[in-house]
Amino acid sequence: MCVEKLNIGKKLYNLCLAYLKIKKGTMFINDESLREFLLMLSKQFTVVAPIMETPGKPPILSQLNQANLSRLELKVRPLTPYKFFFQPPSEELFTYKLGRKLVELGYEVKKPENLILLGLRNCDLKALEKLDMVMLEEPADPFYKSKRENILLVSLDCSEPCPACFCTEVGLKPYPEEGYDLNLSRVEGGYLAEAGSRRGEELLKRFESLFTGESEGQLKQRDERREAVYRKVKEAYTKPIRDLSKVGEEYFMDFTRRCVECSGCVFTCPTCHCFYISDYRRRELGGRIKTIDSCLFEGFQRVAAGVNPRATLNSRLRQRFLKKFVYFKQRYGEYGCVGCGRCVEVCPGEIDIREAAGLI
Amino acid sequence: MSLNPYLPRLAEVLEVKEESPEVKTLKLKLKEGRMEFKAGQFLELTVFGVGEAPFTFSSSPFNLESFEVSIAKVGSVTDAAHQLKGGELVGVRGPFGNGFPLEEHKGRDLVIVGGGIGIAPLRSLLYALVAERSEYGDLKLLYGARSPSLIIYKDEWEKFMEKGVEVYLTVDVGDETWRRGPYGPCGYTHVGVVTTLFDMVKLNPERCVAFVCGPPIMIRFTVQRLLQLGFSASRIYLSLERMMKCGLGKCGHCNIEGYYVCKDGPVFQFETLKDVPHPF
Repeated sequence: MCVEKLNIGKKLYNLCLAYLKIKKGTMFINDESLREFLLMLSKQFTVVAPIMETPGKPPILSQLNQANLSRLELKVRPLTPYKFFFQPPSEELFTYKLGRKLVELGYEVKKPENLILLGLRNCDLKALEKLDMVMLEEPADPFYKSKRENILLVSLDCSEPCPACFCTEVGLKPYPEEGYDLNLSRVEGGYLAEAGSRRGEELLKRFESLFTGESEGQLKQRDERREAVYRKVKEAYTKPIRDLSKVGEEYFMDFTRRCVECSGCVFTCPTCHCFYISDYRRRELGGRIKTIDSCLFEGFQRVAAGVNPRATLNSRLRQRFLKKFVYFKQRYGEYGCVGCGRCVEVCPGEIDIREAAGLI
Repeated sequence: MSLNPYLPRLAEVLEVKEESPEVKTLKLKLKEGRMEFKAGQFLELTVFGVGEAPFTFSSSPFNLESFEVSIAKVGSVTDAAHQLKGGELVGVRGPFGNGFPLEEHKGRDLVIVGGGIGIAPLRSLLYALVAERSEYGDLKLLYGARSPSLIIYKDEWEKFMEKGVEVYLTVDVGDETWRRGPYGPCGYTHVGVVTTLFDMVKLNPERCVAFVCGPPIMIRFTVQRLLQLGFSASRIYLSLERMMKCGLGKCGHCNIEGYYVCKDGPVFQFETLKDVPHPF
């Protein structure tokens, strides 16, 4: 229901714009002003962005400040997924105080203040939409919902897709069309900035002096660049995604032999949402937390009496691949994978999800 | 309902009954409101300070004053649940899941097959059935436990027989008590796994529906036997267990292929699962 509400909100917003014949404010900002814009943003907000920490390695997400602004990486997408800002590795669900014949329960849904995530690509935005389908499905997770409603998203067109990128093969485009507050598209000498929400427009307005109106040529250039990147990713693949519901379990054995069960793929995956729930207690005070979990861990489905329905690594790896390409689609109507390629980059066993999916 | 679906409601333990050396039944009552559920649905029980675990309701869904769960001692939460005393508070979330589809099988014969602690949701089912006894044809219960001392709800089986349920009990390994009764008058002196009870009953697959719950190996052989007897896969219902953590279809722990046991189950038509590699 909440997903629908969000979508209705977006649709309504777009409809209003169309009715008022207002073109979504697309503005131009040159490289020098962008630097100033980001610097000012980082002073007024907590801005988290891809920072190049180790040359030659993918950037990681870090808080943007004056000192690391020069290492801000806007071409290559970060290895860290943005999901942790919505589904933290550990989060408190409620606390309790135990007394004699008395239990007091309490919880707090924290509202993230002034947090901007910068550098999300379309794959990251679509991944959040997929997380919405799970976490906002009634009854919605209030902790996730609060973050989703309050965190500002500044996205980017992909200008340099990674060798492992395959978003086009799961039906996505390498540039955002919706779901952002502000989107930046690389053009000659700077970026085109487009607001995708009221809050995005406010952001543009607040820093109005740094922006200029866009020219027809710049829009054309943006579209050409978008098309070129789309073609670059698309042309790397010639085979369609295989129907994994039709392959036998032995199909996954080759990958299983190389898997060390580290779950790097799960933790860097922007759509993996599984979590564990457990309690802690200190004397009369206690609480319950949800923590990040992985379907590759041996105990993921083991029940108290000891029965483990997915005792073999092969069955667990198969589960992960089928969750992305079969189960998520059965349940929510689309793939559970956004083709970002993070799992390919991170795997020490060189397990390639594109190979499992039959793309290469 | 709370805006936080992870937050349990408080319930008081009214009574603790020792059913066997391994199983206790807790009778619970919500501090506020009533627990309305269907036979076959489950709840998440919190023992404060220890944790939360899923259990199916084992009492009659028609009793709105209190509800029961029967808990086998197998892990940390269940160990702690066995320590609970009357008057203590626990947390409950739920009901979750689908429950047994009784409406669509009114007028039919039902055979209910339980193994071990799997009898718990079937007891709830039996109470639901005898409350509307005239709505159904023949009711048969086949229930097996590992040993006579592990047969639970001992004082209830005769009452179910009086209410028109044919009850057949069996144990894997008998002992002195089993051979001479106390179940002698009812004829419960059978020894053998639960599927051997099928030799003692006459079932008409044309007009009969099977409800099965028990350990995976028992379910596997029971399904095999039912299919041999001529039951169609759509007339066999299984109550399955997975590690249901959140009960909301979010945590991902309880899936069987594309299904979540917490939302699409825990009761599944065998038809749905017959092509799944290892459903049980």
